[in-house]
Amino acid sequence: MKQLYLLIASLLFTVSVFSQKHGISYQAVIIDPNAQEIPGVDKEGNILPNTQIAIRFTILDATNAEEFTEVQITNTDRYGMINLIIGHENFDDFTRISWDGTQKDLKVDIDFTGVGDTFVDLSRQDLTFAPYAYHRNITATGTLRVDDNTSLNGELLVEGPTNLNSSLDVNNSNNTNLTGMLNVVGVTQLDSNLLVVGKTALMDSLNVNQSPSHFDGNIAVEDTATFNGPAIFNAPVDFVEITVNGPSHLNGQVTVHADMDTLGDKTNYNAYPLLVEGGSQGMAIKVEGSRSSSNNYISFWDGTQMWGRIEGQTIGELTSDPGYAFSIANQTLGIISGTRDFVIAGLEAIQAGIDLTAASTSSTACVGLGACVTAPIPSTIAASVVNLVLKIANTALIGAGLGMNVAGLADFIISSEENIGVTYQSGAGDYAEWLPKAISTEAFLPGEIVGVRNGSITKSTSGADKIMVVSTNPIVLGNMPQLNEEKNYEKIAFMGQVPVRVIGEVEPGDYILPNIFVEGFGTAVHPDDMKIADYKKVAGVAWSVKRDPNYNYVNLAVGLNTNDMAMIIQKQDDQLNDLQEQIDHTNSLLSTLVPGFKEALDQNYVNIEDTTLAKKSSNEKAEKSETSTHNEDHLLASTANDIVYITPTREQLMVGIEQAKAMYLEAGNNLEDHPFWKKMKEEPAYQEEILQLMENKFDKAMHTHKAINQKFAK
Amino acid sequence: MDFGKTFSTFEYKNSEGNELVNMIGTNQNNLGVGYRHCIQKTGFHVLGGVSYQKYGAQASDTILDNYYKWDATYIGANAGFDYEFFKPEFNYSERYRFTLYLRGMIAAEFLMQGTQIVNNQLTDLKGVEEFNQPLYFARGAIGGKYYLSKSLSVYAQYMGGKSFLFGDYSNKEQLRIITHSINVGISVNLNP
Repeated sequence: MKQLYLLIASLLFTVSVFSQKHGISYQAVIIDPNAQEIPGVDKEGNILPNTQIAIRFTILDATNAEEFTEVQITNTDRYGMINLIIGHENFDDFTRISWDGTQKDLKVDIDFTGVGDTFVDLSRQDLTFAPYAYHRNITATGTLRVDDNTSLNGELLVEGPTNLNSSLDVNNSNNTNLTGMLNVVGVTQLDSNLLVVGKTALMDSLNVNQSPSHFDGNIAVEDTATFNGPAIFNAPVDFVEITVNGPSHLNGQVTVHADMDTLGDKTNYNAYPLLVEGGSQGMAIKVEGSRSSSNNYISFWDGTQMWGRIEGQTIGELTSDPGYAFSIANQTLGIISGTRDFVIAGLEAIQAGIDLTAASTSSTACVGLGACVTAPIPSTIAASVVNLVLKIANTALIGAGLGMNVAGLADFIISSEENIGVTYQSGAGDYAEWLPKAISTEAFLPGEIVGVRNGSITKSTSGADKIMVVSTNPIVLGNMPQLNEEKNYEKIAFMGQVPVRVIGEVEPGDYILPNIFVEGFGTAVHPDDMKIADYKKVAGVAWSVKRDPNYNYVNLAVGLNTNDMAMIIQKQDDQLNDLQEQIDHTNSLLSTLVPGFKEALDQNYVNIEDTTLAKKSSNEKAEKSETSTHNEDHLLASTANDIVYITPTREQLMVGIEQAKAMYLEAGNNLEDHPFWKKMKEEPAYQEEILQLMENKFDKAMHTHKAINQKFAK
Repeated sequence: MDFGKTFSTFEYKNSEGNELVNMIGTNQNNLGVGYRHCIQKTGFHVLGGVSYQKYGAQASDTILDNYYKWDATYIGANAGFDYEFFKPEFNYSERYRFTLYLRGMIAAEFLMQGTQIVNNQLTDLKGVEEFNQPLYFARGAIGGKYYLSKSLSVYAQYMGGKSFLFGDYSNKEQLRIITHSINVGISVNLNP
């Protein structure tokens, strides 16, 4: 009689709509487990009306594991019915049930005592779908198809790809948050503002047809950014690499900050942060307003301060600029030096003519009676001719250089005043060039005095062609060696101020000469103590005073003392003039005091500076021309002194010129590079002038020779 | 021999001592045959006989919405006595004579047939608890007899009775039947 009868009237899932609660409706009629005692057979299956009972609901999953349980105490109504909501007493656990589509069983236990501690099984049944259902979590293992509108009042979480075959509208001004990548294959139209909080990666081109476009923050373009129109950036913009194919206008300050240290040293072109290339012109810098020394076109800084600048310059600033005055002085010195060299070269050419005359004159002693006549040695004559040609060529070259210097000075002044614009200023003080070391292993220190031989430097200054100083920090450095060849070169100051190592005290204006006892060091010599031979060894002039009797580091002006030699030459010229006046005065006295002295002087003495010499030479040339027709060996008539004079013919001079040209070419030179040989080749008139010059020199030397021979013959 | 109508009702208590509410009796027929023996002209008679009795009751439960009905047929043996307390002087010359009597009887009855209807369910009561045991009745009656002749008389009587139980029924269901019968009969004097 203890069997239980249970009638499940209904078991409904409810949908949470507005006031509806979360849970499952459970309605049942409870049958009295005890039979009703009546006369005869007891009546079973009576309802259990108006009785307190306890119901325990348990939801089991497919593995028979308990997912949810709760106990509800209730009373049956007069019909024995109960109406309960599963999940009413244990709401939290009910919301955690995973309605994942797997089997769910509802197990119901009942305690008829109404206390809730003595439960007996009542029922167990599958939970199936109902027309109305409310889910916390639901998993559809198959296709979920909703033929009508679908309202999702909570979040929609889609773990897999989501395909929308129609349009997607996000209404009510709700935000659309995409934490991952948004791939849009077709055209994307945004009718309102687009706010991108995070980074936006555009794998294709971005066309912004509406202007302007505002970027309030930084823009980082990792790849090529092409702006076909003007691009205005009012805020900082970071570009990893930017290529602008058209004109670019940067109205704000531009900072080029590139970490290029890892790309190599200064010899690497790509190691420089700023490269300007692609045009026949380099870079133009324009400053606002008029240029002046207060406008820096370019300034050079390190981490502490500015160390150099290229600044504007006016005419007033130009003329008052010490550098300009220095350049003028330098050009002038070049002219003076060129004049001196030209004079010396002319003297050498004259000497070469004398040598030719001497070579053409035979004074060889003969053994025998009577007059002994010997002919001059032809090879000696030819060598002398060649020597004369080379001296003339050198004179022509120096003359050309002198002319260029004179023209250059004028051009420099005109050009400087017409093209004044900028000056380069720096703490460095000298112009230097790289010169090769005579001994590659020899080490040099800044300020050391070196000797130059054949263009190579060495610490040995004895017999050096030139005395120079190792530059410390040149403002301009020329003759840059090839790559990796710097170890075989050293920076040598050519002009300007350079520190130099000196032993002993130094006064401003002292000449600095190499110290003969300590290599690399100099010695100060006062100008009054200078000797002619010392000028050859001058490294420069000291412009600072040092009182240390042992060792000093003084500022030396190099390349500025070439006029000193000119002054010496001028001084010697004055002395020669004085001597000439003294000789003329002496001759005048001797002519007065010694009878016959004046006649002898008129007959035998030939003054090479007498203007009548040219006429006499012309007459003698005519005589030679006549003589040459009778003597194929070009022997002059024997004089009383038995000395034979021979005059080189045009052919011999031409042979000499050709030999000199051959020697020049054998030295690896090119005729086109030498102004003398170039003009000799291209201009026959110039060649004729050279031949006449050689003949004139020969004639002058011949007359002098004859006079001297006659003088000594007496 | 007599026959009559019996109004019977059940007096029932379940094991918890509760009675059925809304229980009412039913009218049934009864039939009896017996022997009556006069004891020495004292007015007392002993008697014995058998009876055929039908009892019934019906009830309803409004809470449980149940309807109950019982019908049972018993055959019993009874014995008793009566006393004619009103008996005029016997005058055999008178053809008709009227007497009144009181009767007491006991009877043991056994179920011959019975059915139980609960709602629409019919159940045989044979072998079912309360009906499986004999009913013991105690009855009392009052009646009048009219002698039609010296050897034949008719009588009518009212007799009430109530069954009773033997043994301990303290924790068991208890069923008693209370009867009210009106009978008429004919008596034949076998020794006139």
